[in-house]
Amino acid sequence: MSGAAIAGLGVDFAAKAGIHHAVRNVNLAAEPGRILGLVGESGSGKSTVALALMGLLAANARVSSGTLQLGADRFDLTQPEATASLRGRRMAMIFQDPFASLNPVFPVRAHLNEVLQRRAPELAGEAKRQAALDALAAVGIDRPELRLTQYPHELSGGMRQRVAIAMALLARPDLLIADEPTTALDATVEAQVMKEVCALRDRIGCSILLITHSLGLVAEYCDDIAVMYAGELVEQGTVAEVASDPGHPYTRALLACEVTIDAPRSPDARQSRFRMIPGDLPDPLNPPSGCIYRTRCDIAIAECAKIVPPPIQVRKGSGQWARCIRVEAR
Amino acid sequence: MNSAISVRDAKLRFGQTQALDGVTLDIAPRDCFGLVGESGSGKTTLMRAILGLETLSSGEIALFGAPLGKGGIRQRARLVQAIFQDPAASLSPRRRIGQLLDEVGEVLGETRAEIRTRQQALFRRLGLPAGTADKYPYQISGGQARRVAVARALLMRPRILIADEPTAGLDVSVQGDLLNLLQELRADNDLTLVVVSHNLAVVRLIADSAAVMHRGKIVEQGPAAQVFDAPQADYTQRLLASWPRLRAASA
Amino acid sequence: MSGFGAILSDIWRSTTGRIGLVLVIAILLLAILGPVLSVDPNKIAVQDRFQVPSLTHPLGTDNLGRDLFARTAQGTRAALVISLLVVAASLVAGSILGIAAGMAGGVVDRGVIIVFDIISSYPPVILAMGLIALYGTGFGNLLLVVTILFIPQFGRMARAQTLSLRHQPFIDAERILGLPTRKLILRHLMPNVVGPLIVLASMNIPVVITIEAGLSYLGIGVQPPQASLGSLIKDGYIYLNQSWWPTIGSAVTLALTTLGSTLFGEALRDAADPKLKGHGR
Repeated sequence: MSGAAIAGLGVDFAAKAGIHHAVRNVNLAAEPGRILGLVGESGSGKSTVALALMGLLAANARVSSGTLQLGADRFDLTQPEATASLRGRRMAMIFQDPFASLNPVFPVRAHLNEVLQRRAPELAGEAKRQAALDALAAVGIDRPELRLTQYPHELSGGMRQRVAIAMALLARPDLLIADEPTTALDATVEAQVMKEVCALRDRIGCSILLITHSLGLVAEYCDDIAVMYAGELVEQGTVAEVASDPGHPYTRALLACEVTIDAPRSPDARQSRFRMIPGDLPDPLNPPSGCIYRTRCDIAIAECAKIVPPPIQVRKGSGQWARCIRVEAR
Repeated sequence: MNSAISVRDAKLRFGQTQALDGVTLDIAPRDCFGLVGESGSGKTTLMRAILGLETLSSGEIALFGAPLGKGGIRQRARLVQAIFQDPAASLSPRRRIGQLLDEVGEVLGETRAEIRTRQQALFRRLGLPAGTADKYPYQISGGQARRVAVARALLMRPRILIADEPTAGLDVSVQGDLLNLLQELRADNDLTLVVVSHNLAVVRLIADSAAVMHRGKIVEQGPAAQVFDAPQADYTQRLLASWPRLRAASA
Repeated sequence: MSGFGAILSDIWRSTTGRIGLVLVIAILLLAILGPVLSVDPNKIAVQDRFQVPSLTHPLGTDNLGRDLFARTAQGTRAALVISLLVVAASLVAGSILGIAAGMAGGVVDRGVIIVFDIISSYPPVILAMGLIALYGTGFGNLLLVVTILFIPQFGRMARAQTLSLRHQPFIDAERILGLPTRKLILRHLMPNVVGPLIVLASMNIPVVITIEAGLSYLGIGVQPPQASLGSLIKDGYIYLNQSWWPTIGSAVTLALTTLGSTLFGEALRDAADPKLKGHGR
């Protein structure tokens, strides 16, 4: 397996006032056996990227450019059904709301069987049942025999996500896209579910694209990170590099805003103040010239309005890059 | 001195679930109290009981020493107000923002001019455009709705303000703005602040004291520094251990 | 509220709303102006029976030579008066009962539901016959009886709306302000409950018209010689082998009334709901 590579992805939305280029020229490489965290805030376009890959975009959206390279095969994402044949086979998805991926009228067993039929048609009867049981046990579900017969609504949120992970496990995809898989879950359950996602990566060696708004989650569980802002990738690198020495001012500001559980605490809570990024996202129909972030940037110079910054290497000998011409000024 | 909020052995049952299972706590005036727990822990039920939106099966809740029985919601309104988790949904959809805020004056027996003056001052303070009052809730942004909800609560001049999951659904780049606002309000208004949240990291910094709820019970309670940095209860320790850390950044 | 004009212009913007509005206005004009402009609907002229439409008789004449345009207009007027009164009365009574049941809960709720169940467990026309047999025919009794038939529908919907709304955050937010319950219901609950009720009302208008027609046919509704759409269709049907004109005018009018009030009701719902508007169309 050689992982998944997205090249030149662009997505347009038709709005009343004009065309909104929601995602512009996104290039992502998800290495096999690694988790790539695609992090961004609301309006960054991170979920649009996932939906474009899965061919699940809303009716008013259109992929204007982009390809997906999966192993030796290349898919033109501008074709409406480009990835339809991949879904549930070489490409699987875990959603924020597992109700979206589990059909409420079928028990867990039917969901797992459906995947098995596609990926291991030779299995039947007891062998098939055993495969389903093994998958449930592998993702840490207790009493798998009982769970096989249960319906999605009888399971807790964490359990439903585990079933979704078990389905991915059986599908043995080359690429797993997890869109905010733990956002609806409590912290303790989030930790358990993320552990299962990591175990899945190690077990089948697939590339995982984890889409999230939480830098903390990325720092804790991902290998690589890509940061999106207003429809563009602004920085990419390994988590270790980016979290310790972010090249882009937006990444830096995001990290500063993150409230960590071990942040220094003033003895008087009244004195606590919190960081934020002043300003708003740029108007999508009327974006600023040059760098997309410059209107909120604290180190912007006149040049920033003239040049659309290319990816610039942050440090010698490292793959980390940032789209910021002031990368040296950090 | 009386506690701002005093809860004694509060119990509340919904069908099969014991939502509150003997909760006792005291919140000192002008304190910022953090109530943390996971979903289903009972923290929201406790908050609703304090507001008078739920009636306890047994036990007692007193605000500034005055116990409040059934139907005490109107007496309570002047003492305690709340900002709900989804502020846009907490604004009545078919009335203009201005009409919603005028109601506060009606409840307090203020003249329209008085309430409008206070409302305009608050709008300036919270950075809300003056035209907001003429709009319907669906015409304003989520951030503005949150500020309108804060304005409505403050117009009541409460002595206690409860914030239910104030950062839920907010991007990290903007949540600081709201948290700083809460901090400022506390300083100016002599407010007792109760922050109900699953966000341990935020509560740890903003609260003077805190309680951890689990399955309808308080498992740990004390100064925030102690609860979050030297937890005694197993559950608190587990909760804190599962909280993601910016490992690489702090290394 | 966005104002009457704004709602009308919203209705006009959608194609179906425009059709509904035009039909409703046309039917209203027929009901209001028709009887004024046309000849005496009860004037018998046997020599003119079963005439095809002409300038003197735009919809032809019936078996007694009565002008069908005049009779259709008169029937439409009767149908509209009865259905509007019935729907308005059952809407008001149903909302009060439904909201009271939903807000009070417990015994009140169960009591109201049982009454609704009893009323709707009888076939409507049979129940109406029984009640009219008990209290006698007449315009007032007809209205009262049909109103009772329709109260449960409105009541159930008002109750369901109330139950789903009473735990909404905005209701909680008003409650913790200490707003008196009466104002809470009138200002914040009612406006959100009535939207779907008005749609139900506009869709019930044709149903009331058909029930009234059925009762008229049975001789316990609108009394002859007064015309009603139902009795016109029925009378025309008897002579269908001699002329189909008597049925056409009244049947088409009934169909257009049904279609018009349904389309109008749907457009009205969309226009009156700011949340739907907010999400664009």
